[in-house]
Amino acid sequence: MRVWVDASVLIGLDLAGEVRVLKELLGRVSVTPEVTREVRTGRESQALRSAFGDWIEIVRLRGDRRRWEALGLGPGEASLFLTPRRDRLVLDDAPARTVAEAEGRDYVGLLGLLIAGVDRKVLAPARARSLLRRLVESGFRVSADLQGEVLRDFGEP
Amino acid sequence: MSLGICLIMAAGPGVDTNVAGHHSVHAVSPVASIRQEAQPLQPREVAAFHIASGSFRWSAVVPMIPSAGSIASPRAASSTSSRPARAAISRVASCVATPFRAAFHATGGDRLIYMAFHYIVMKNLQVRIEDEDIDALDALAEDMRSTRSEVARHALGEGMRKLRMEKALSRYLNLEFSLARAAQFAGVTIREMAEAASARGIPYFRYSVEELRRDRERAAGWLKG
Repeated sequence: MRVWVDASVLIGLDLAGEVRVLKELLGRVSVTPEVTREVRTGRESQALRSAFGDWIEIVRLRGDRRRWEALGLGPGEASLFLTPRRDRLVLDDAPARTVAEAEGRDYVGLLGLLIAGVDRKVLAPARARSLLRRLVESGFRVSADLQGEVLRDFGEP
Repeated sequence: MSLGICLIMAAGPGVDTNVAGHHSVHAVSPVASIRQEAQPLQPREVAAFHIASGSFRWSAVVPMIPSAGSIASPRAASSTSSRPARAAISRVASCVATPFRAAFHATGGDRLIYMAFHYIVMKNLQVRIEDEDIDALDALAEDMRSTRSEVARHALGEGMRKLRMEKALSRYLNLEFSLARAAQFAGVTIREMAEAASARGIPYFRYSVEELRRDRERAAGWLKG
């Protein structure tokens, strides 16, 4: 069973300088060629570049993703719904989560994953807080109510 | 030594011979480009260059193969019935023939070139605008040492980009688009779209606290080890 990651998750973590946290939490993860194209724009970090083919595997899938694109998803997200139904997905974008829910997929968002990492002591709370701050600074804002909840879970007084 | 130039008009994938759109065009000197690409003179190498010519935009791909004969003068072997297109091909053929000859003499000249022109014929659009906008266009054209048409085309292109970004942000805000789809619609990268959305105060992570708690429980079972 594979864990598939959406492009925004990788881009956000890369901008925060913490793409490796995915490996620490999940080990090997998979991406589709569509996700790879969205991530590898030439502006990604060396850390992310070298992760491809190492702990990030690119897996080609067959199928027509247009059905999902018609629901407002990008090519990368749409391609994730061509994965085997028992596989797991990491995605945060609201439209993609709606589709995942409707399709009965096993999915989590990055924030839930990070909190679980803190709970299991795989991730230090201070590092998680710093990661969240850098995520927000690089354009991946968190809604006010979520941010309060996440920071509490990251041990902020 | 032989030198031949055969101009073969070809509509590329997705390029209709009568429809504007698609290719981005860079005004690159064909001589410089051909010199650069032709230096190694390997069979079947491909040189690519782009020409902006009047109301036509050209994107040419030039595979070079060892000479198998010669064609004395440029000609347009066109598969299109479009008269303006054929005329334009002939014009471009005349324009590029001399530089090509020079370039290929400089590099040995022992090659037959097939040029596949992907061209875009621009359509005419009539728009009524205010006098002061015309004056502003003319002033800008003079300042940019360009033509009124070029400046208007440039302004339209820039305006379209901004409008697409606005539309993308609006759909993203309303959850009609994901970030990636919004980026695709606006013609920018996901990173750039995230920055644009953030600048408008639109959060990326915007699901409920209940969903977050559910994610947390589910993710606990996913962690390695």
